[in-house]
Amino acid sequence: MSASAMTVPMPPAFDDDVLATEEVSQARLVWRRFRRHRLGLLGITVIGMIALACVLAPWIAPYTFDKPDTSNIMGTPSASHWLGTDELGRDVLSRLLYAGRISLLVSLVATLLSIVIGVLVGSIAAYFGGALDTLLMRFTDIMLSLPSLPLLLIFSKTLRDFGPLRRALGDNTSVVIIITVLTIFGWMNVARLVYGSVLSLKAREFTEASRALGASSFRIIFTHLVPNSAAPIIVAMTLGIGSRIIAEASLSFLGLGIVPPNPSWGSMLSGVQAYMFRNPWLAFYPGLTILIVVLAINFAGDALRDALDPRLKN
Amino acid sequence: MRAFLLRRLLQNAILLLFISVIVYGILYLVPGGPFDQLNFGATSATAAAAQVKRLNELLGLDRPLYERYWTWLTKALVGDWGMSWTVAFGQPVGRLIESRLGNTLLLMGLSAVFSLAIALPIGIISAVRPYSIWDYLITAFSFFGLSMPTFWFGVMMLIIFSVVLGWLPAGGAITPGKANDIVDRIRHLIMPVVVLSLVQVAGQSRFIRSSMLEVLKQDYIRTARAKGVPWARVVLTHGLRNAILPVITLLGLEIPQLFGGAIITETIFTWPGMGRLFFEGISKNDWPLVQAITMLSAFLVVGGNLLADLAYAVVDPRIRYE
Repeated sequence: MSASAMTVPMPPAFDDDVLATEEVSQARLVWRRFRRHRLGLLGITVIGMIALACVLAPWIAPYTFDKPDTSNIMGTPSASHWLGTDELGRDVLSRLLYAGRISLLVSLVATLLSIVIGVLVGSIAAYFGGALDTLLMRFTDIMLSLPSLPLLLIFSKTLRDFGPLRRALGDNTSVVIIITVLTIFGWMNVARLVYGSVLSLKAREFTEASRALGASSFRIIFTHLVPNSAAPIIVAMTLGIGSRIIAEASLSFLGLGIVPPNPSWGSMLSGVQAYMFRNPWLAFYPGLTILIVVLAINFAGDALRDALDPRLKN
Repeated sequence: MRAFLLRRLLQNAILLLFISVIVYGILYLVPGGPFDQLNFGATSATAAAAQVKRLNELLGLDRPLYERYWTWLTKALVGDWGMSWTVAFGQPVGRLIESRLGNTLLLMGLSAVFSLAIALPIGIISAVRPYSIWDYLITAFSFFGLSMPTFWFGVMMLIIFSVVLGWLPAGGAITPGKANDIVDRIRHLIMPVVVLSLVQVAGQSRFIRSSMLEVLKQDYIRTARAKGVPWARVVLTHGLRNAILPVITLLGLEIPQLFGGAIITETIFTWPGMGRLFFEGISKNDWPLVQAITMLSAFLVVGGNLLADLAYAVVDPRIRYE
């Protein structure tokens, strides 16, 4: 072999700066992907604004939600009542804001509680397997196959008629009842999601490594397995809030959800049929608000699903 | 095939039994109940308690729970669902339900058919032309449908079509005097069916879209096209037949949703059906009626699942040989 005169030039000495890239956390990555969905952005903006308005209701609402103004019954929208007045003369806009506080609060709390229960059931069933697994997941399946609206109604009615509870909670009885009822019938989806996720994560090496290092089961489940299942849980939570808002509104519409004096978007619609012929616009605003909020939540949830795991997209 | 059927039937029967236990438990174990709020005009707590005790004895509610459940179950299996307490005092619950069952089944059935008739074409179009203007419109529509509170949609339709335009009747199933007029019945049916189907269409069309998209990516579709089969036939014969499988399961799962939706829709449109009867029963604390209808809806749910399983087995030969 002839020694070629060609020598390979030495690579220039480089500092770490040249190769270093910006450290990006998981959250930032997710946000970057989320940013690309315009509808999702629109969604969270709308929800943010509405939620803020509802939270600030006691300060920004022009009237209180139960102040009747009998001189102005069922008034059409005017300068002093932007969205008109209802059948008792109460200002619709203020009622919408106050009702929003309750509806959003109820849905949020019910969703959070459902998630807690669902995560517990799903992760324990998946991790420990065996009889516990079969028992828990069978129970979940049975609960899922129960007809939900009839049972929701039954539960609401019986709990409502329970004297001691009503005396203990007073005006807030209906709120507590509906949160309870929505939670009882809402944890199953999360449980299944977590079950599937933990089951697949259980087989991975990092679980084995944790076990080898001596981590307790409890620690493994709640520090490693569950957080890694966070993506579908978060998406389920977001979409779950939307479906609970509709469920609460439906129950309130039927009179078995949130009852007066507490206002609710659903109950604002219930008396409407009697007044339908005189002032049809009364029915329009509460339902429109529900539609906008849930639509925004669905857009945001969909974008979030894509942002959290782009592989999930078909 | 027969073994499969038998196995499924047995599983579902057991499920139904479990559900009946749970429903019974919920009705009678949850604190509260039909008599808690009544005071019978009694002058003291003890007098009221005595009245409640008498009522309990009268209606057989003071016997232990398992005994009550067993009596109820054995009677129910032969068709005796008890007497209504308040909605139609003394009338056998079975007869009450019978008079309304047909109406609700009609509503639910028509909605299921209608929603599928709309969801299939738009789902397929959406899948065959993804990301086109049609796809965006259809996706937007399904988002709307999923976010729409049904009762609001119903009330809005009532306002627009009955109050403002006066085209359609505001409720009920028939106009008095025109009981046999088909056109009249259809006019009464249009709005409830459309309202009940809306949510179904939204969910189904998205599902069909994603299912079709999955199937259209498969190799055998490419082979068919390469062989020169016209695109329409590829989509409908090869694509749809394979994509329809998960949709069948979805259909089975939608029956409880349909029933829940029927409760609300029937209330809005004063449709004389089981949903409204159920709601009346709940409002008036008529427990035997409520129990019977809940069991009936559970039966519908389980029956729907069974049908879906069967249909799946018929359509997908792989399942039969498990």
